[in-house]
Amino acid sequence: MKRPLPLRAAGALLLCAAAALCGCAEKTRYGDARGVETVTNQFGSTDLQMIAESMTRSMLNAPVVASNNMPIITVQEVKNKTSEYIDTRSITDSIRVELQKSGRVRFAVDAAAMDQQIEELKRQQSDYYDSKKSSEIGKMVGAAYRIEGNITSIVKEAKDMKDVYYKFSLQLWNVQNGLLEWADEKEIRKTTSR
Amino acid sequence: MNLKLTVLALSALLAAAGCASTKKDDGLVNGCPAGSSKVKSLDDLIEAKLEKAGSIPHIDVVDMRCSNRSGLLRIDADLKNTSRDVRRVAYRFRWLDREGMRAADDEAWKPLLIYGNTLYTITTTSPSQDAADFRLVLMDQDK
Repeated sequence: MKRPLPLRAAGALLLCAAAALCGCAEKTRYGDARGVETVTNQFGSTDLQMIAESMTRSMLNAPVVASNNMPIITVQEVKNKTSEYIDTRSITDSIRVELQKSGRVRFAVDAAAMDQQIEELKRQQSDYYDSKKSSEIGKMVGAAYRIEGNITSIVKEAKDMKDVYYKFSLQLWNVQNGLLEWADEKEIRKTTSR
Repeated sequence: MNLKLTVLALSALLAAAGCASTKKDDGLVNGCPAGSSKVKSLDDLIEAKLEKAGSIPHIDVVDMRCSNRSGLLRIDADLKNTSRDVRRVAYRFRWLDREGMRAADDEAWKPLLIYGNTLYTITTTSPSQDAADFRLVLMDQDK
């Protein structure tokens, strides 16, 4: 006996819908956080990691750091002079973590974290704390060196090609005498073609 | 007299052979730590230090040099592209302490472009004094 046409059509429709659903289903997997990321040519995780590593390893060879005197450093702003949004704080945070892990430098509280530092110091002066065990005001240690830098980019775009060039510059300045103790750059070029 | 001459000649020969081969000193070859591997020549050193994540045609590590700078290990590795085409690879270093345990977090993979028939020198410094030995890991990026 032949199946009625509407039923066959409904079956076909159901099959199509199921196939479409399978095609649209999202698949999430964990990736390598340290892998080479080339999803777009905008500033990405690989750029951040390469810059942080390159700057850190270079700074470890700077005489003021290599002398094993544990210089006290503070991190200042890295200016973003590119046309895109880049969280430069994230780059300096990574550099600070790598330098700290090297065991060759110490970091003083930076301008961005100063409010929280003062707030905590003031809080410990309240009656709720044992005054003998509280941190004293006026004992903070100032940095002997400060890190600052900038990131710039040049973007060139043609019909079927986009070229992005990044230059990250970092400097280590002596706070006392204003001398430049160390400086380095990291260049990155990314090209996307259709 | 003859015995003395023979000993002298042998000593001279040994000294000459030492100068001609890769510099080896206190468990170091070309300044690089030999670790627990039996490393006697540059080829042994490259074999001991190089790890390939899959096959990487036309890319050879042809030289490796190390030096100690203020307690940190400075490494130069020469990569040669033996083909005529541009090759893209990624590399990173794995750092080990004196006991062969991991001495630092995984580094980021760093992409590298090497023009055809050219040599490129990778340079790095160990992240801390704990990192006394290393492995250079290479991965093909053209696939």
